[in-house]
Amino acid sequence: MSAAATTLDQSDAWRPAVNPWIIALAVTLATFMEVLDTSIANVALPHIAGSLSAGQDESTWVLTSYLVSNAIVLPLSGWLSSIIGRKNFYMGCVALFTISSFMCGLAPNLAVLILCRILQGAGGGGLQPSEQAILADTFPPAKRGMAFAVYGMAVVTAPAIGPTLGGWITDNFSWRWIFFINIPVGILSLLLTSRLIQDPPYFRRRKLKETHIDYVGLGFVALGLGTLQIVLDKGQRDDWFESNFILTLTVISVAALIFLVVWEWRNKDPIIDLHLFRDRTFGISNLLMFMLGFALLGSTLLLPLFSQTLLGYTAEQAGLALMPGGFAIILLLPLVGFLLSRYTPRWLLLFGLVVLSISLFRMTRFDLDIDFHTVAMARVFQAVGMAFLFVPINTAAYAFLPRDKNNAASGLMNLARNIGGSVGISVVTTCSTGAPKCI
Amino acid sequence: MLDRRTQVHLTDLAPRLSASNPAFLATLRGATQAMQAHGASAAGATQQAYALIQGTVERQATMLSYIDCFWFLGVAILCMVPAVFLMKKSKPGGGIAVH
Repeated sequence: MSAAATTLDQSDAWRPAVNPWIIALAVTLATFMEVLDTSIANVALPHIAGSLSAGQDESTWVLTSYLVSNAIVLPLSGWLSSIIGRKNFYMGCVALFTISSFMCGLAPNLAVLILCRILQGAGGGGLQPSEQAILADTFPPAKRGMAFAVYGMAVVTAPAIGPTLGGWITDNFSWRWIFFINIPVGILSLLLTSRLIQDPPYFRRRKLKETHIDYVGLGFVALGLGTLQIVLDKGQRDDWFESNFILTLTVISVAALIFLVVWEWRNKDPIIDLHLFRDRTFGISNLLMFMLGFALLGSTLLLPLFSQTLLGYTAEQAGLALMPGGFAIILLLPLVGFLLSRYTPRWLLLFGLVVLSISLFRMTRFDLDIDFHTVAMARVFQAVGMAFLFVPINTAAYAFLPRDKNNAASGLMNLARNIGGSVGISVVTTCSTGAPKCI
Repeated sequence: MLDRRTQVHLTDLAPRLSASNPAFLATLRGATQAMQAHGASAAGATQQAYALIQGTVERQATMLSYIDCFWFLGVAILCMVPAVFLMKKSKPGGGIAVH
């Protein structure tokens, strides 16, 4: 504890040269684009399959491939940035993401598109946690709430906007523009980052020679998380354990992850710092983040599906029904950030959990005759709960960690949200024939 | 979950569509008359009426499965409440006691 306190004392003296809010906006730009891309291609899938003469089923790998490489890179990002420097790593990720987006847009066939999506997912997986770690370093603890609020706006609203924007672009232009729109955003983000961001002085870059690279850990991260994502994404489509493919991958995934935990826990120079979970508050924050991802993506998928299949909404109307909720989050997050400077995160979390669960229970009173207003307001109510969870979870997670662990912690928190989201989507829906084109 | 629950609800609802259920018979009669009024033949009208009821039942079953999903998400979130109390108390602003 005293060691941690000293680290904090020293590092608190350091402040970035430019206004921290400009940094916050610069890095949030890239994150917004990245999270948007996890859901933007979903509605365009039938068009992509059509224009590349691919089958409906094989085309779903366009979505799976991105999620797989994304999940693998997320927990590794802390370790990777400690080797090549965080700014370098972050900019490398944005560059990789932007270039591979361009290549996705040009893809002549499905195989190339899937390959580019793997690269895109890898770039995206690195930039998310780096952004959060940059924010945690740029702002003093008392102001972190507001900074995470900005980050939260991007992470919480983007998955809801993705399908609507993707549908609109596909209908009016071509699915290729879904990927091309990332290019200007990526370039702008690179320009801003190169000028504004510097690694903090206590961020010590390790020489590659000093580090003993944990190849075994690396391999098992890729194997365990990669197969997990494939199982979650393909499970429903292949009718779960009826399929030998899913069954085999599940066994591989579980075995690899168990081995990974044991291996990394004993490793002196691990690729994933699992010892962070010794901090109880950090562990619970990860659990809550997992559940937030679960509820956020689960309900973001259910609501449009419900309004389209049962209420007969168009994709655009279904998107519009989610909009007021998005605005509510954007308005509320700064308020929550402010409240965090007055109240302990625990009370805000409690409020958020209660409101979110009440809002979900309220939705069980839906029937087939409800109007647009009812759907939109239900989402607003839900958004209130989400806003009161996202920021306090993040603030609580870092509260007891030494500052030089921010990078590794951020990778794990983002992984928790990411896997939670995948589980949420997987549990809640089925992308089989009955559902319209797996939103 | 959505698909499976829809099947479950369909199985639950199906037995109610029997000749021993007066409400079902009344609806069927009403629907048949409506179909005939729209120009369907006597045999065709009964068939269309069955199809109409079948569609309604399927929609209701799907609706019930959505409700199950929302309920499940709500319970899952509610279960997280005790976890909050296991967190260590931190000062407002997320900072720890460093002076």
